Amino acid sequence: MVTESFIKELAKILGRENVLSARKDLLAYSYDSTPERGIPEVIVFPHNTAQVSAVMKAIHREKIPVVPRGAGTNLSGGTVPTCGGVVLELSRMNRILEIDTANRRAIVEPGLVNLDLQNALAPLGFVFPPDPASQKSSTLGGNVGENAGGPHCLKYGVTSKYVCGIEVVLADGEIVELGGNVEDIPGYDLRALLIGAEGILGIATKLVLNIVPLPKTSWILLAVFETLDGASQAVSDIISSGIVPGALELMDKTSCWVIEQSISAGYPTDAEGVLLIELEGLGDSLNRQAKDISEICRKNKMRELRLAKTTAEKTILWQGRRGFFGAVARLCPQYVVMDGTVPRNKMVPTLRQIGKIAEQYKVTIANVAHAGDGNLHPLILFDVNNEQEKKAAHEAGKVILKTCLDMGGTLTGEHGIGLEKLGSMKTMFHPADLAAMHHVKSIFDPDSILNPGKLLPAEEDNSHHERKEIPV
Amino acid sequence: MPIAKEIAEALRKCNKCGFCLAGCPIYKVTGVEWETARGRIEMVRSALLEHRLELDEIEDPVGNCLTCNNCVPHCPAGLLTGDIIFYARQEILKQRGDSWVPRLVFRKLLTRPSLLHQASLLLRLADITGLRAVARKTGLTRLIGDAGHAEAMVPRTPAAGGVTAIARLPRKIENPKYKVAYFTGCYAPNLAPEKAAATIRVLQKHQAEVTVPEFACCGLPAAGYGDTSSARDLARRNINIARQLEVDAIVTPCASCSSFLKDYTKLLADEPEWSAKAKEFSDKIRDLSEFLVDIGLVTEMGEVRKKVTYHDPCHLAHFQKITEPPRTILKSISGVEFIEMGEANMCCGAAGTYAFKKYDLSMKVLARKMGNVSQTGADILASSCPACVMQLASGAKQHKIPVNTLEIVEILDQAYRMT
Amino acid sequence: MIGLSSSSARTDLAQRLTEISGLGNVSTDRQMTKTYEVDGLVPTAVVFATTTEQVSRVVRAGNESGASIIPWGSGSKQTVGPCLSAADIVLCLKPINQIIELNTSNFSVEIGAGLSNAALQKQMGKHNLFFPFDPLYLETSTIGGELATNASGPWRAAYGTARDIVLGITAVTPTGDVIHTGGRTMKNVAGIDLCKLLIGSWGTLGIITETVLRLFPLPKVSRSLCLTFAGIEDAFRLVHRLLSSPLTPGAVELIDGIAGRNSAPISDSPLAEDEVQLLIDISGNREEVEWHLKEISALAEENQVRHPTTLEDEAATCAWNTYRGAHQAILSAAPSTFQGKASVPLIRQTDMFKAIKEIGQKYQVAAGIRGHCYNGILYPYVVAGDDHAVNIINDLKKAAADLGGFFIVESAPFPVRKSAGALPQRSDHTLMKRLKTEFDPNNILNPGKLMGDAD
Repeated sequence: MVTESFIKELAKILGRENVLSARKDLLAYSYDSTPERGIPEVIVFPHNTAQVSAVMKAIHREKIPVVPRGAGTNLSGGTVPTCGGVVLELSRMNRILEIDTANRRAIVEPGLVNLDLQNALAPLGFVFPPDPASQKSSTLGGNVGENAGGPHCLKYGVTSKYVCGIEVVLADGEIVELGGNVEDIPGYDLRALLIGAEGILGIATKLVLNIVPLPKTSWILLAVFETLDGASQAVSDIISSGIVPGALELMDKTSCWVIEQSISAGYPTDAEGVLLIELEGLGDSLNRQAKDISEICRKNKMRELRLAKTTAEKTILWQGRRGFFGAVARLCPQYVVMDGTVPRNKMVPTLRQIGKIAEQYKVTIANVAHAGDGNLHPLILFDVNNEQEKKAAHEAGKVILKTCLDMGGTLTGEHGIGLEKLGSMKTMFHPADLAAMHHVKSIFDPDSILNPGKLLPAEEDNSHHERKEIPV
Repeated sequence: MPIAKEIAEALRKCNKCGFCLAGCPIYKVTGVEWETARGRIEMVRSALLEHRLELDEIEDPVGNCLTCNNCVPHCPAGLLTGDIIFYARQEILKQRGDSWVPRLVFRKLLTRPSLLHQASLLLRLADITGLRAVARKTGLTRLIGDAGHAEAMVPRTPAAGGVTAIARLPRKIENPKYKVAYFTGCYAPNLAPEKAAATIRVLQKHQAEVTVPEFACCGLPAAGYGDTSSARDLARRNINIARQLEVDAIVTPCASCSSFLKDYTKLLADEPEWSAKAKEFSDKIRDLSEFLVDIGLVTEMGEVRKKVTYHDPCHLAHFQKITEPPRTILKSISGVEFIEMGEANMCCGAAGTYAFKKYDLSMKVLARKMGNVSQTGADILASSCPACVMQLASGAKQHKIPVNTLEIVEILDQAYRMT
Repeated sequence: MIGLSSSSARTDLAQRLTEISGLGNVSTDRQMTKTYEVDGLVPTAVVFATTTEQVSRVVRAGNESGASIIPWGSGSKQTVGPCLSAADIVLCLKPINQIIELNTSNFSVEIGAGLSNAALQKQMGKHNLFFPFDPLYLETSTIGGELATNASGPWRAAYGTARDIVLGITAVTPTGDVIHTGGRTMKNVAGIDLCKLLIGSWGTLGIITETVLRLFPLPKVSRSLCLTFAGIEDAFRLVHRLLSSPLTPGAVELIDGIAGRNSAPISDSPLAEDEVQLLIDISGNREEVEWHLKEISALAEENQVRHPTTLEDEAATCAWNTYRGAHQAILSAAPSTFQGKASVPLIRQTDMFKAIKEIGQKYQVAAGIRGHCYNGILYPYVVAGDDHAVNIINDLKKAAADLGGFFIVESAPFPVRKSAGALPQRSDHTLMKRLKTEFDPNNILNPGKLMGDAD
């Protein structure tokens, strides 16, 4: 319970301007990019590690729930303060501490926006490969907390591959360093536990990231297909041929239409399936790859292939794809976004099954996918004022997740479990798996104050995770 | 209290994706969620739709918005945050009731250029003589904030000015190719008549016959304050004036004016007897750089051997999508080495009277802007909005950046006069 | 309290193990168990497990009776790193070596962890696929052992380490529970990432019994460049040019004259003692490979390369085998040799290289060096007598720490490993200790390994 005197204590640590608790503040921090809601009791803005530690010591003493938060662009309810308590906002810890291209390292604070790092790296000829669609708003701390992916993770791998070290403040305020600047630090890979832990194990206050040189050139191929089957089969065939594109994105007809309504990026609105394929390397090799891909696509009923070479052409295509989730609001402001991921050879049957589910539940589903990785993002649209439709959408969502699991896949490829998929964790994992995860949780945060009620379904005897309605 | 249907719909359309965070200059300097378009919309929704907040609770989220619309290109749903904010301000004003100060300013001062000129002299005098208390008592400063902060920003008022004086400047042109009306806006005639003169000279250089009608204020300050009805009055007045003219275009070098004048169609959309007239009027409005590039810039000019960078006024870049013509002009001036600055299209913090009303926030935004300016190493910082230029000039002084801040038209005028 | 004190307890345990694994799969015969002696400890029983289920039951039995269990693949890493403090049961996993599911369109394979790396590659090669993971003993070592010890090889430059290419792991926890971590998809963020925790945990948190690996298509064209340099500066100048370029070599390895002196020359020209050699793998399509060869050769010329050689096919394979074989050759030639690992920031590799040489000179012992140049990792081979070893190790630790990295002892004679100590104490040490205790309250899995003795 956050009391007046506790708020005063926080203000003493951080300064009054860094503690917010007016009603409007509480409402502004009650959401992320999902429809989930939870009202916090106070929001704090630390400026450095020592302050995070001091705040955590106070929170720990009072056993108050705390939710670490960056930009709040996550897609699973992970930063929604459902148990009330403190929102620990890291947006003011956003400095680039060091960029060392010779060592391929960037040391940053967690509140730094992904794109701000990219913009600092690009003139030096370097890039931080993880590029979630939200990269212009989302923070690197958040990217680490969710183990974010993005289109380019097909070739480069997800965030976990690019995090060398994390300075973490633990639940009791202790500051520890996991991993570091150099490779192969001996001992347990605790850094790996923190990545994608959605803030339930600790609060990252400094990140040592791995950066890599930019590729020499890149082209984008836009392959337009008569059927969605054709497009998804082409993905499998491209991967099987041994070509590893920089990115390989799939969009269905509805998605293309939505994107074109938002910005005129040049996606066709009358084709059943479209692939956006980014090739990287040098000129000669790109020619060769483009030729091979074109042949594969033609075998799968491709009706048109466009090539984008200039920065302007490429930028607008990416802008269209990255803005997709937000753009759906034009069609329908509320939707359920899925993140199920399947083995790459199961893409075609899974997409077919999703089509059937849409028919069965009478809902509209728009499909985009990081297809090269088998990472699907079906969006189930519903009218928020129609209770029946809303219910059908959520039911359809559950069936889609079940389908992904049946195909040998997983609940989430990059968005995280958060609140939304908590209910499905027991379907995916056995009790022993979850028990092992709880072992980890208990050594990092025995009192369960860090982002309670997220990622891990509560153990039978645990009442900490109950949702709490805070009146505003 | 029912709220406008299109606003209600817009409020529901935000699905909180958070992409707008990237475009908000205020969020960039505060990091507070309700300083983002998403947050502000959430606040307005909570107050107007869900009634979870009182209107005065959302004063800061609504009032702190620069209405620069830089969030708009970032919004995949294409929401116009500025419209929502204007609407919310209007609602707040309605609830609070109309006070005599804005009534005086928007309904009297700004309708008559001569009255405004006198008022600006008074205010300036009050500042110079230290009689600010008088201004404060009369309520003038409550409207525009503590003018003391902004003293350094407001240039010395010239002895002779006002539209009447400016109207005498144009000379006759033989065989004019174009007939244009120069919409001076409130700033140039009262605070910088030499800039008005420059505008007239540049237009004449292009074989344009210039007239300077006694237009009233464009109405943006009133609308920005939430007083839409005053804004409509001003619009109708200006439309009537324009209907007396026979001109090819109504040109202004002020980005804010041109943007709002072009929006009269929207402003008067629900007044059947005015909507057609408004459209006719708005269709004639041209930003100066837009006009010059359209008709073909005269390139016969002297050399300006300077490094020049350009700041996009929000009302030009985000409201009118005019980003290339000003750059085309600068790059056409011989001797100019053009350098693009980082975040060129990010607001400078001036935003009309914002710099007066929200001094601290405005200064933080300005500091970020000046950081980007100083990285270019430019000799001249150009822009095409008087409010931006005023703000940027004070920023350069404050941050000790050796850069000369000019309106594009001034640089152009200089170059022409060297021939 | 670790270990079985009474002989009756031992007999009971042996009986229980036989019930679980079948008569032929349990041996308590000392002649047999003696061959599994490790760190001076002879196990009571050696058990061969054929299924995950059996492993689970063996571990449960061990946990219940307090018997320590040493998971064993091919045994190649048993003499690396900190010493064991007890070894009651050696649990051999080699029989769990099936290819459970090969999915050639998903590019994944699920296998029993006892499968050897070489056997896996051979099978995958038939489908034109490979698992880009080439640690030292790949002819014999099991995948399970390689993952448990976070082994790595030259390909890590291009493909990363085990954590980047292992999709899922099935393991048996110290209490005998079977857990499934990860999965078979390329991306997966469901739950806490226990899969990466198990990698490199040296069998102290769980026994890896099955795993899903990410496969890649065999490159269409492969070439190797063997470049000799007069000194380390020239070689590393080239390396740093590569590191900041868009070039993407498959592997960039370094070996000096001393480390290479016990094996055949990698290229036609033998390496002089003060020379160093870079062995670079370039793989991809024809255009990419040609471009890389051209660019790298030009950069090498700029940096005073001697005898640049381009190798392909068998010659290339032979060169890489020789390079890899240098490790065992140098250890076998002088049994008192210890091998360690120094990891430093990339641009500090030259300094670390020189520091190793200086320390060698200070103690008048030969010090050879191998390294993964794209990862800042150098492996010193120091031919030291037991007397000096501790001092040399301390000097190396200090040198690496001064450069912002660390040094640890890997392969070394028993007494040297015993005195070298366990992990460097960092701020996360307590957390690791607590993790071990939480997972393994009775400290039965590989006690003493990695975290050192429970204290």
